[in-house]
This record gives sequence, C-alpha cells and structure tokens, in this order.
Amino acid sequence: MEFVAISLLNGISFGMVLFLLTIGLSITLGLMGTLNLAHGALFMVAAFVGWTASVKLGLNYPLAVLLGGIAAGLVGLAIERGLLRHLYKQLNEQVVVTIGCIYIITNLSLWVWGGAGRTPFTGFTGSFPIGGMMYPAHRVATIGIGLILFFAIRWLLEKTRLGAIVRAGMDDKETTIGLGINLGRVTYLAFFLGCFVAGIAGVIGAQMLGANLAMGWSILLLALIVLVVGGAGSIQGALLGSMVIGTINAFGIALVPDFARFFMYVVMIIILMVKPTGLLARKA
Amino acid sequence: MKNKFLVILLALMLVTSLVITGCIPAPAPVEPVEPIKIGAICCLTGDMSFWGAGSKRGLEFGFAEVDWEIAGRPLELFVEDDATWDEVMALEAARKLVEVHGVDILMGPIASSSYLGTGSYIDVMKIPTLGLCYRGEFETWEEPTWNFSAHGAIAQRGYALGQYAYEVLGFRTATTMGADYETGYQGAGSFSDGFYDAGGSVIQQQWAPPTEIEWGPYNAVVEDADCTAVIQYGSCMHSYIKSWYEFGFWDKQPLLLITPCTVFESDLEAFGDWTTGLYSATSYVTTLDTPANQKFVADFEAMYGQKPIFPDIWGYVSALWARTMLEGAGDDITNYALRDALLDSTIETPIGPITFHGDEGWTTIPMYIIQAQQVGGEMTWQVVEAYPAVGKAKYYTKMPPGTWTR
Repeated sequence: MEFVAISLLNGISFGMVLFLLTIGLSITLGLMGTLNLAHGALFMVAAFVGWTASVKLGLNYPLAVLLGGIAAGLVGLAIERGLLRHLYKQLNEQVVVTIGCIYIITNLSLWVWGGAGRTPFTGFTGSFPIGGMMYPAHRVATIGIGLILFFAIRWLLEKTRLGAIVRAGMDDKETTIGLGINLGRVTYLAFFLGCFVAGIAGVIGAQMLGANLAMGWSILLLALIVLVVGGAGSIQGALLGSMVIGTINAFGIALVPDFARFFMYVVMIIILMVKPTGLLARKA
Repeated sequence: MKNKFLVILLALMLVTSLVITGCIPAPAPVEPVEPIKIGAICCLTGDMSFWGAGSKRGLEFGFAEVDWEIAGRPLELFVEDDATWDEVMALEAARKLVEVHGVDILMGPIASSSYLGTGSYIDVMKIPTLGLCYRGEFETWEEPTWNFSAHGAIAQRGYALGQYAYEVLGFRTATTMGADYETGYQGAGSFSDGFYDAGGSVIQQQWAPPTEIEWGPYNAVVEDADCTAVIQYGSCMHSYIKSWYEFGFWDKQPLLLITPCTVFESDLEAFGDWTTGLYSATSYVTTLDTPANQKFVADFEAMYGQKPIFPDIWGYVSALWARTMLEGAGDDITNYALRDALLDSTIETPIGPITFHGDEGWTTIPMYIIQAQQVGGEMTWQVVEAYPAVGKAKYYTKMPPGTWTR
C-alpha cells in the first residue's frame, strides 16, 4: 500500500511537470500548426533564471517562478516574432530552425551561467511521512500548482473572449480573420502564454532536476511523447497524457527498471495505432 | 710603387668577389624552430562543459610552468570541442587535430562515448594519447596501445571505498545505484567487490540511465541496508543526492559517493550543511596537506583567481605526463620514442607519485577517502584516510541484482 501510494505520488508529481511543459507545445501546435522544439530549451532557461532569482539574489520562490516564466515567455516570443512567423505551414523548416534555436539558447546560457549544473532548489522544504517512508513536500506542492494552472488555463481558453478567439483560430483561421479579429496579436499572446507556462514548469521542475545545459534535450523527448499520447491542442489531453506517462514511468522504473522506457514507447505506439490523433485530441 | 698599389687593389677585389660569390662562408641564417604540437579534445559545450574548461585550464597551467617550451622548442596547444557526449564530434576533433594541425601528442577526450568514438582512430594513427580523467572503461594490454589512461580507473576508487565502508565505517550490508553504462558498471562493481572482499554483503544493485532525471521511483523500492553507494555524474548526481535527502534516507542509510568528481565544494555549499559527513573516494582534493599540493593550489589560485577543481588537477597532471614524454624523448619526438618515454615512468604530482606500468597500460596512483566537513564556515572535502599506492583493478560487468549476496 505504501509502495502504491508513493509510486502514484511520484507519477503524478513528475507527470505534472511534464504537463506544464507540454501545454505550451500543445497550444502552439493546435492553434498555429507550429512545432517549437526549442520548448525544452525555454524550460532550461527558466530553470537557470529561477536559480538566479531564488538562490543567487535570494528572492522568494514564487517570484522566482514568475521571473522564470516571464523569461521563457520573452525568449519564446522572440523566436516566434523573429523566425517562426515566417515559417507557417512549413513543418520541416520549423523543426530545423527550432532545433537550431536549442543550440543557440544552450550556448547563450553557457555564456551567461557557465557550464556547471545547479543543484535542485525549492521554496517548499521538508518532507512528511507516508508509512515508513518520508515524502518531499515540494512534490505535493507541484501537484497543487499544476492543478491550479490546469483550471486557470482551461478557464482562460473556454470561458473568456481571448480563449474563444484562440479556439476560433484553431478551428477556422480564415473565417476568424474575416470577422475582423486581429488573430496575429492573439496568436503571439497565445505563444507567449505557452512559453510562459513552460518557464513555470522549468522552475517548478528544478526542485527535482536542478538546472543544467542538457535539460533542453532530455525533457523535450518526454514532452513530445506526452503530446502524442494526449493529443495536440487539448489541455485535458495534455493532462491525461502526462499522467499516463508519469505513472507508467513511476511504476515501470520501480517494478521493471530495465523496461520502463520500453513500456513508455509501447504505450505511445499503441495509441498512435489505435487513435493517431492522441487520447483527447481537440476536435474542430 | 705603382705596381705594389695595383697588387693590393687586385687582392682586395679578389677577396671581395670571393665573399660575394660565397667562397668565404657568411654567418648562417637562423632556421625557425619547429614547435611541438599538442592537441586536446575537451567538452567545452554540453552538460559537462565545466569539465572541459577545467581540463583546458589545467593543461595551460602545466605548460605555463615550463614557459611553453621544452628542450628549446616551443609548445603549441590546440583545443577542440566534442560537446560532451558526441562521439562523432570527438572523432572529427581528433581527425582535425591529427590531420590538419599535425599534433605530436593528443589529450582526452573526457566522456566515455567520445573515448570509445576515437579509440580505434587513435590506434590506427598511432598517436600517443593521454587521458584527461580517470577511465571508466578498463583496458588491459596484450601489447602497448596508444591510448594511455594517465589517471587510472574508477575501479581503483570504488574498491578502496568498499573496503573502507566495511572495515572503518562498520557497514555490513549495502545497496548500490550505478549509471547504466560502462563507468557505472566499473564503479558499482568495484565498490561491491571491495565491500564483499572485506566481508560485507551487497543486497541490491540499481541501475539508471546516465541521463535520468526522476529519482522518486528508484527511491520507492530501495531496500533497507546499512549504506548505499552511488555513482552518477553531473546533474544526475546532484538530483540523486537531493532526492536521497528529501526521501528521508540521509540519516538512516548513509550515502557514499563512489566518485565525487562532479560534486565540488561549491555544490556541497549549495546543498547546505546537511551534507556534512558525506563520504567519497578520490585521487585528489584541494585540501590535501602536502607541500607539493599547497604550492600547486597557491600558484593556481594566483593565476586564475580560484581554487582548482577536479578537472583542473587532472588536466595539470596530464600536462606533467606530456612533459615527461617530451623530455624523455629528447630530440626524437616520433610516436614510438614518445611512447617509450612514458612506459614505466613515475612522476611527482600534487596528488603524490604516479607510476605508469608499461606492461599493462596501468597507473599506480594514491587514493584518498574523503569526507564533507565544515571548516572555517565553508563546506570542504577533507582527507580521512590515505592509500598511498593503489594498483591494478579488476574488470567488472553489469551484474543482476542480488549477485553480490553470493
């Protein structure tokens, strides 16, 4: 029972970090048809900015999370305005350019923060007992923050005028523009939002992972798996996909460590075969 | 009188013409001295870029000690990046250094993947190559090759720590967490062997990919033991240490680091004083209390404004090995002469004396058990036990959990 509880918490908390990272990918791919592979690099930049704010400058942790989000949002916006807006509907070019952005962002980070990784840092210290084991408080806080952001983004997309425009743009871009809506502005606002949330994920994730220059790549692969499993353009899909992957990862490593990654890919392949658009892909 | 004047004039004209036509030798022109070229493959970008930067510093410091000159010939250092784990880039870097720059000696690479990517090329080209770090991959020689492990192997550290854990710390059971590749197998395997040989029992061996980022699931199933020995690198090691503490294992099941090479004193400081008491095994720490080391640390600090970290010292020791090769080879710096100068030689270093055994491609090296301690308000690694000369280690393969209970 203790093992099941801890493994579930592990799966959900790690899945929540993946969820926050994947939301941005999901929105931009669903809304604009833009695949931004530099999303993982934004996660990394935010982790370093969060470290600078929280550890080096001694600011409080929520402020560090906010600053990390803003930094990632601004870098993402620069990528969108500078590069991606010229490459709409050119998926191959988007992939090549955004992979290039990973290298550029990583090397700029090397220049700014140096090559050494930063140890994990958190605003939620302490642990609490579960059976005979202790469990880190920050992991439970991660679950709470993830859920709050899930409901906030869902409200934003489903209950506000901005969200209605975003959804209309996803469904029928030409008609939305024809109605006199400035979709361009909404588009880059949505892009900023996606990158901002990836930045929040970076600082939240740094509680477990710390900050290092390899994060841009290592976390990206998991985010893409979540995107495939959950389906693009859907907040609920991103949440479900990340919970599935997080839980498989937690139980897989604990029970059959040599095959944990294998199971993750098997699930992805099965879902691609049975439901190629993902579990909860957004329907137009 | 007139004839005498004409004879003198003719004699002067004759001498002048002889000088002009070269019959009387003029002073020889100074021929340019060919520099000795040394190439280094360092990870200057990627996850371990701090390591490459340190190796480069150490090499430069070692060559600066002899004013970048050996036997009247200037030294030139060429450094190429391999982006930490990229074996293709490492091979390209080796080719550029050898085929474009024409280096006489190679240094590095550092990471295992790069080492494996360049190994065959180095042997085919017969370029004397010195490592910039201890090696995870164990190689015994049928006959001398060209890739010299100048700093020994991880297995020398792991075995010493395993013995110390049983004999001095009094642990009787242990679990291990190893990086799931060659260096991890050597590290966890040698610890297990040292612990077992002393009388202990390793009841669980966990393996995780060297890029693992989520340690919660591993901690959920770790078995109760007297201690846990871990070998991971870079950020993986940092996040593992933190998770061990946060999951409440720190006090009830002490952690032993099979190598501290990516856990610097600044990292101990960043973790906090709860790391006090953490044990590890290494060939070097800056606090080593010997005159040679104190001089090295002081000189290094004067030059770079910071204390040396692990890659700095190992880069420096590699430079000492290169100097030994070049001084031993004298005027003949062909590859065979350089190799012969290295075999069976001993150098004095801030670490202590290191001997290279030519018959097996192996170094005997001092080894230290170290402990994280707060000294003068700062977290430092302090030597608690010294093994002056640790020799050849065994070869280990990945073992299924439970093997070490025997």
